Amino acid sequence: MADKLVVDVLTLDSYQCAACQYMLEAVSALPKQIQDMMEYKEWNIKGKEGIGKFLELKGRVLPTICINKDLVFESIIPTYEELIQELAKRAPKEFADALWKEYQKSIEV
Amino acid sequence: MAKQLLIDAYRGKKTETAPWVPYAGVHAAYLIGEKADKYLQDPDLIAKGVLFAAERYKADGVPLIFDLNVEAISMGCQAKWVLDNPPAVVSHPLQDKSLKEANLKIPTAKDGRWPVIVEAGKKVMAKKGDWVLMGLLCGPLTLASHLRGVKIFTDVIKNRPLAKEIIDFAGKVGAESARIYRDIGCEIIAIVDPVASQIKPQTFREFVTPACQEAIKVIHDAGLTSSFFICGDATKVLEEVCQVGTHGFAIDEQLNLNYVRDLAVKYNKGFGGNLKLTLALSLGIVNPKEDAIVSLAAGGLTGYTFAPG
Repeated sequence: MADKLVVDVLTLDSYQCAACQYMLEAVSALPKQIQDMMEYKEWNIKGKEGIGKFLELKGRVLPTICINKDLVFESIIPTYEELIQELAKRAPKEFADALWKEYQKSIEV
Repeated sequence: MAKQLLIDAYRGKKTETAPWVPYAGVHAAYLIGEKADKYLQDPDLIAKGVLFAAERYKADGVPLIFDLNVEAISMGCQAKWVLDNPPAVVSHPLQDKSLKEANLKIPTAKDGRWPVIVEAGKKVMAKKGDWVLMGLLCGPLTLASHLRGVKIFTDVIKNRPLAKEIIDFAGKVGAESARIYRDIGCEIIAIVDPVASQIKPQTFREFVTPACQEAIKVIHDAGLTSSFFICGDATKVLEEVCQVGTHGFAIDEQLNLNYVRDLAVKYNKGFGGNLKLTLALSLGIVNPKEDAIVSLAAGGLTGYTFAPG
């Protein structure tokens, strides 16, 4: 089994901040077959853990989606296609083929 | 406390001192020893909290409430209520339905959560001193996000007619909210669209700017003062914010205040915000006193309002 993609969503707090809420939802609303290829977590910087992750990933703005430690979407909520494409670029081969197929399917709709 | 000072700053004019607005929000509930969920559903508590916050902080303006879920909940979105924050929308009625199928109606002062807010506003207006009661309405893209969910960010690229229909509808809801705040007596009414910082400038111009116009007209026709509040790193859309048509705008702590000031002066707009709410007041990483001094120096005395970000 390949390592899953790691998606870290850096937020102020998805309860408190609508921008953070929908940045997180871009990830949490992905279909189950894509969720199965990744592990995601929200890190809000109101707590020590979240501050630690923000510093570790060298975060610059909130909210940000990081994929495998890359700061990928900084203060820009991605379209479905953009997110799938960036996941596919960083996925191990076992998942990448399926993600690229999903990407192709999505851009044809 | 000075109402005219704040109105002048919000309109981009020179002021003798920088006016001050604490966006008390549910912090006002904390100040009077109440939980946010109970507070936001009780007009007496809201009025008590707002009046207390204005006095406690010697404010030049205080929002009646700072809750961007009022419109969505009043249209039937389900919400999770919590003790220390405004409620959060957890269902999106347009996720898999069209506007027609979902049969959404623009909420009036008699619908949903509005009666509580209207009653609270009237109580505040009857007792308040020389400071501005501010009405904050949910901006069109944030409301469209509540109604459609995250799909709206794909729609604005791939299904633009649908996106336009939903965001324009959200703009009409916002215009009705502006009428409600106008009728309460709010002297400044702001369109608050935090999500609008998370899109490209051309998307802002195509969808957000047009959807704001009806609310802005309601505010300006009544002789009132308008603003556009945006959160997050809004640097890329700040020119669009300056051109949206309001008298001014407010930003959060992630922007460079010198850049913001220069842009505001260029467009003759009021501007405010940027105090390091999270870094200083929540996390204690930045010294709040030093932050205040730096902000006052950067903001200057033309159109600047001292306020948290």
